[in-house]
Amino acid sequence: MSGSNSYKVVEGDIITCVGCEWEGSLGFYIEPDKAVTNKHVIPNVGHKVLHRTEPWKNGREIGVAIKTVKWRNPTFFDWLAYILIGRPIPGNKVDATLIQLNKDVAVERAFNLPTKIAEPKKGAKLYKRGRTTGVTEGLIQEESIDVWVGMGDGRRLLFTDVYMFSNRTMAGDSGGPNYTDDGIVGLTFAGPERGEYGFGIKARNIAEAFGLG
Amino acid sequence: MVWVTELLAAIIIIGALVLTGVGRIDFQQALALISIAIGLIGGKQLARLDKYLTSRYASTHLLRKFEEYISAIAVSGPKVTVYILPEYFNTYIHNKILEEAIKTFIGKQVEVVKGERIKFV
Repeated sequence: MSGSNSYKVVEGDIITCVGCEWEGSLGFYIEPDKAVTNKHVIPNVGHKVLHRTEPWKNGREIGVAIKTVKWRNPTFFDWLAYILIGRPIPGNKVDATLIQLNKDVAVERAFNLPTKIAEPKKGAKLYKRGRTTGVTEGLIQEESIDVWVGMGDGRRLLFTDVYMFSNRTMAGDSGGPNYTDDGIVGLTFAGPERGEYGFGIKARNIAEAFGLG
Repeated sequence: MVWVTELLAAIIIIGALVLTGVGRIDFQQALALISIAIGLIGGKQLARLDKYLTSRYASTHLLRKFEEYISAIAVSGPKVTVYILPEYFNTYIHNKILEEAIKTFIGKQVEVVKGERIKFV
């Protein structure tokens, strides 16, 4: 996949979509020609993905979004179960979009670490790469946490079974890869205003959502 | 005491059948008594289901109930950490959430800590 004429990108590089007024980060690649990022970075199927070497500069098209998750809206049965037996309305587990990379694009791993999908373990060292904070090292603080996340337009979504880490996390880091010494654990997706820590979507849940084994 | 509801229901059903047999009550009255017995058992099963669901979905239950005040909940083994928004820390709401969390996460050690508003990055 990495011919001499190929366009090289690295997991955690700056990406955006054509016509979008925000930037995020490229996640990990699952297959040589497929990579993931957050849905809130590349929201819709068909969106063309641009790679930038510097923030807000012109980009180069590297692929197209081929699958994305749907924000979980309560179904009729969710409401029925809530009204009849009080089962709470479920939340979202995954914020991810699958990108089909162009044939001339070669993605390099952000870290020289195992590449199998691993579970986040509390206390494990976490390596993160993203557009704004670059490469950071921290610790996994919670391996399964449910959290309300602001979407930036006044709405909030409930996310369940995500993890929390101590790495500095700022706007633009979304979609970047998270590794531990065991392998790929997920994608950065949320954090507090001051950026002192962050939250990640589990790689296992992303693989399940996209049927990638 | 675990089977007291079922025992009571059984006594009612047997009583209804016996009374019908000896002619003290008619078929409709017996049916009414049997329905009461079935209702008792059904009510108990629904209460058990409710308890199971509350415990199974304890975290989302609390997060939805106190949506305005809680930012996150982490459950790690026997420990539950509830992150509440800073303006509600050490207030009446804080105590109310702690009380409700202890009731919801039965047998777990609950801690309420100061959290923050979380947003997409």
